[in-house]
Amino acid sequence: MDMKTISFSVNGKPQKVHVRTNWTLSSVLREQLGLLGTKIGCGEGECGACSVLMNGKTVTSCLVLAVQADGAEIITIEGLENMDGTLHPVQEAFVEAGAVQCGYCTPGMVMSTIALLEKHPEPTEEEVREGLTGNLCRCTGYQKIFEAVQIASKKMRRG
Amino acid sequence: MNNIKYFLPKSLEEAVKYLSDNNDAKVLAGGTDLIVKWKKTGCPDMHLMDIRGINKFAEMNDLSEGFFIGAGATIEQVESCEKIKADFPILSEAARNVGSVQVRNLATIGGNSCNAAPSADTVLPLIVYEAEAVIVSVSGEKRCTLKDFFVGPGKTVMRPGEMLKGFVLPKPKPCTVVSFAKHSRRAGMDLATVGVAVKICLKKGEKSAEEISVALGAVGPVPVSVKGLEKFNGADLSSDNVLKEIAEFSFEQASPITDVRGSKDYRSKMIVQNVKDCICKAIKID
Ligand SMILES: Cc1cc2nc3c(=O)[nH]c(=O)nc-3n(C[C@H](O)[C@H](O)[C@H](O)COP(=O)(O)OP(=O)(O)OC[C@H]3O[C@@H](n4cnc5c(N)ncnc54)[C@H](O)[C@@H]3O)c2cc1C
Repeated sequence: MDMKTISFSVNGKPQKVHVRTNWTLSSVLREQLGLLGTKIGCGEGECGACSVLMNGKTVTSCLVLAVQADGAEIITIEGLENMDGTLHPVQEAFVEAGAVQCGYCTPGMVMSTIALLEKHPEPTEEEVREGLTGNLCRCTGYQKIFEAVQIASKKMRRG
Repeated sequence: MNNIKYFLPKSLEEAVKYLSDNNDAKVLAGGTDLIVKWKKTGCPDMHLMDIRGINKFAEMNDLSEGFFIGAGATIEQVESCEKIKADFPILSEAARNVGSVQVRNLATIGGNSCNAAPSADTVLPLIVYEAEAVIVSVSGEKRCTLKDFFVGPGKTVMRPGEMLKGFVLPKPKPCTVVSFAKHSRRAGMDLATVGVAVKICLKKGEKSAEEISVALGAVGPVPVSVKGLEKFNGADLSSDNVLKEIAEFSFEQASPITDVRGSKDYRSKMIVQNVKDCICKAIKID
């Protein structure tokens, strides 16, 4: 069985892990590093539950082999809160809007919202819908999530 | 079992040498087709050569004969490239229609063609823009027009030891107008039920064409580049009859089937309708 040692940064911390070449990034984050916030839904890139930031861009980590993350900078949902333990404005907005029901899609939704607000700090409704196309939610009907994005946008612009 | 042999070349030279020495090695680009298929088939053993370590593969630049887009450029890079937006707007539009943000961040333009799915979105604009695929191997480079690149579902003209380096797109003539349509069941995250790209070179100040190109997607085993459209050169595109004739002529060259995304009959009607709509959109007739 082929193995490889990869060095990458996860939530700002350098990590060195010995991985099998057929492991995906999502399974390494969860099973080797214990970062269970990243969820595995469909495993085929459709649902977005496993979305993380890889070198600043959202990717479905179920479609990335762990070996491909060698040298990369990864941010997961666990890496968003501030040093003092307070939540990231996008997380706060999801709480305030009640944009969470079962919670399974939430980490992926939050990661996609961060990428979306970086591209469109004041997004139109269409830009919100487009930015979250790759994240499925089977509970909320999306409305509360879209509201959370707008709340987050205001919070982040206020600074 | 379930092993992946993984190799990450650092240069194009190293990559083609590796492919030549290892005929069982597959190119891994964004993995959005390859990894999904691998999982769906029970994660069999694979031998992969990952091309993402080679920056040269992702380059986009001007050449004397046109614009070069590296096979490893991500769909997101293609979508947001200002030069492509200006000179090849429907390529940018088609790229924006691929999957989701996350998929576009991983997926490459080369992978979209090499996967050889008849529904691949970026292939249709590349065909009407007369893109040439640049194929490399240890024996050097060769070119193949993209319309002749596909030989069957999942099959291209590339032989073992060969890989796609990128595409060369000749600069469109100033008279060119274009349009693209992706007809799908839902607005986001769906493959095309019918895809259409149209490029027309208009006669100065008129609504008649000097040249018309039409490409159709998801309506046959390979993307269709409609042949014989020269017979409509000079025809008045503002005439409903002419539009209908071009659309029906294009449809004759498609071989749609019934699948989860639509019936043969529905697809047939949508080809005709979307070709007509695309021409109207390109020449700006409501
Ligand atoms: C959720 C989801 C949604 C999608 N939606 C769409 C959509 O809307 N429209 C659409 O067109 N596609 C869609 N796709 C399919 C896919 O994202 C695209 O086809 C993509 O462009 C493939 O590129 P890749 O870099 O990921 O290819 P990979 O998966 O890495 O490779 C695909 C194939 O091409 C070969 N290959 C790749 N690069 C080269 C090269 N340079 N030389 C030789 N061979 C090569 C590989 O060996 C493999 O056989 C979707 C995929 C997913 C997972």
